[in-house]
Amino acid sequence: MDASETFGFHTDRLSVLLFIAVFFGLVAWFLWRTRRGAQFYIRRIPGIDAIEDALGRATEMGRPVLYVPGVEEMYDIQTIASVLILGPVAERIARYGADLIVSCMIPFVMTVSQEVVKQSYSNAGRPEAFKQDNIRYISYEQFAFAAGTNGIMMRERPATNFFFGRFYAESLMLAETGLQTGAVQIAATAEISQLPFFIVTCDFTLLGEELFAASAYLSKEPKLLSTLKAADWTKVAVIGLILIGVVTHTIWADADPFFNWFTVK
Amino acid sequence: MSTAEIVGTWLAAFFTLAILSFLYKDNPLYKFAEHVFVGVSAGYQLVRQTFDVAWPNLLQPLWGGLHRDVDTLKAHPQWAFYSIPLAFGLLMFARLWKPIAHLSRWPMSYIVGAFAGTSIIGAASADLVIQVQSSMVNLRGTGPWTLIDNPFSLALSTFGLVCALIYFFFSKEHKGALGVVARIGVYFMMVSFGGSFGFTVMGRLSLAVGRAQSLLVRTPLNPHAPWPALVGVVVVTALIVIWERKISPPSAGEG
Repeated sequence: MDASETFGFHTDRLSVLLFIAVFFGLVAWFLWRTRRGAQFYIRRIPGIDAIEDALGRATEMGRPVLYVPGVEEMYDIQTIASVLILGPVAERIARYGADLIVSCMIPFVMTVSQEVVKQSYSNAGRPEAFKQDNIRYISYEQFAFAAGTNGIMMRERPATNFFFGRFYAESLMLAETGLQTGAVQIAATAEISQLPFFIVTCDFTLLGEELFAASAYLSKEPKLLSTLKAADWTKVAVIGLILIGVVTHTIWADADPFFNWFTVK
Repeated sequence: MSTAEIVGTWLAAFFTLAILSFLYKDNPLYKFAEHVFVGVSAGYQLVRQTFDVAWPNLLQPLWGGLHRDVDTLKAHPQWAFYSIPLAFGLLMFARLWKPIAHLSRWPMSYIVGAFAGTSIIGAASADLVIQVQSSMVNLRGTGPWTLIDNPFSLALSTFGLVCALIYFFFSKEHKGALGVVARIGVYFMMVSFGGSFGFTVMGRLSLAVGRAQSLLVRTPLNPHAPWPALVGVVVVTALIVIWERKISPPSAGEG
């Protein structure tokens, strides 16, 4: 048994356990409050409010809406957030009677997106309007996917482009082409290195955690709202811990027990 | 150099220029290159996933186990359990037959749920605890003062971090003092995005220069340079001009 293990328990990872426990405790607390009828306030996020206008514009112009759920696998947290947002977005599109094209790089994401969009069209009372062929797998290769999605933008001329999820080097190629076609573009990613490209080419960009807030904001789903509230108060705790840590680490340097408690081995 | 390599070099030059023709406008040459690119990558991935993933990790152990292959039984004594992922994989194809299409949701739910569960520990450790610890800086610095490692820079980065974190607080309207702090957080982020943008643009330019060099500079891999690129420019330009004339023929009064 390792020195840091007590009865098979990794004491060196106690800090991780505590963070997870506090976070899930907060989620459970807010969920319990939601179920008892508590209403939570979430500040307005301009990029999310713009989604409604962008969808209205596409409907008025009679042109499709393009949704790209990132380029990562389904288990990536940003892809999960993106697919969660796709649900309410597809539901609104179904109500307005516009067309939705989803361009996917990962086959499994396409399958999940098809299920989500199909469900959304049913929720909107228009299951017959769902077009399975509009949820497309382009290619597993990053730049082939970018080339294929650019082709969709140039030929089918979507009036609105959504880039929600994790993106890498293809982000600028996609958003720049969308800009040339004159589409309203809204992007959301927590991939810090790609945010600058979206900021310069898109009409609205949701920064980092706003991507995760968007799914809760749009769906008003109690579980997601509770998670968002829990994340908010975890941030407050994190700010407090960082400030305490800065003071103690400045005083005791490497001998600081508070700082060392966070070391994960 | 083999004939295949020579043909490959010429094709690489042609397809590079065909893709670059998109800078002018969408045209049949770009569409051709795009479809070849997408098709070849789809075929390549199918072969790769089959022979590098499905065969060694799933099909081979099952096949060897069923045929009582000694090596397989030694390497995979629990080979029969592989029938579970095989069944889940096959359930994905249930989508193709409407009466049982709903069964395809089982493997999807399993994958999303399992990965979300297993990634919690890694995410909490790497994205939270370690980040929090890294943010607890020693304001006196850790050695001789440098541009980054000095009390002013360290205090400024801590201040920027706190302001940026406050920007991502969604439970209160960003008004008054909170609004001011959040706005300062946005300024900090924008400065960092600007730096990141410039850095990446430099990287992209260096990629473009590398591609141009590979087409124009004579190397063992491209012994005929710059001819493939020059011929490619002529061919691509000629084809685009022909296409332009075809879609917009000169009016009767012209010529």
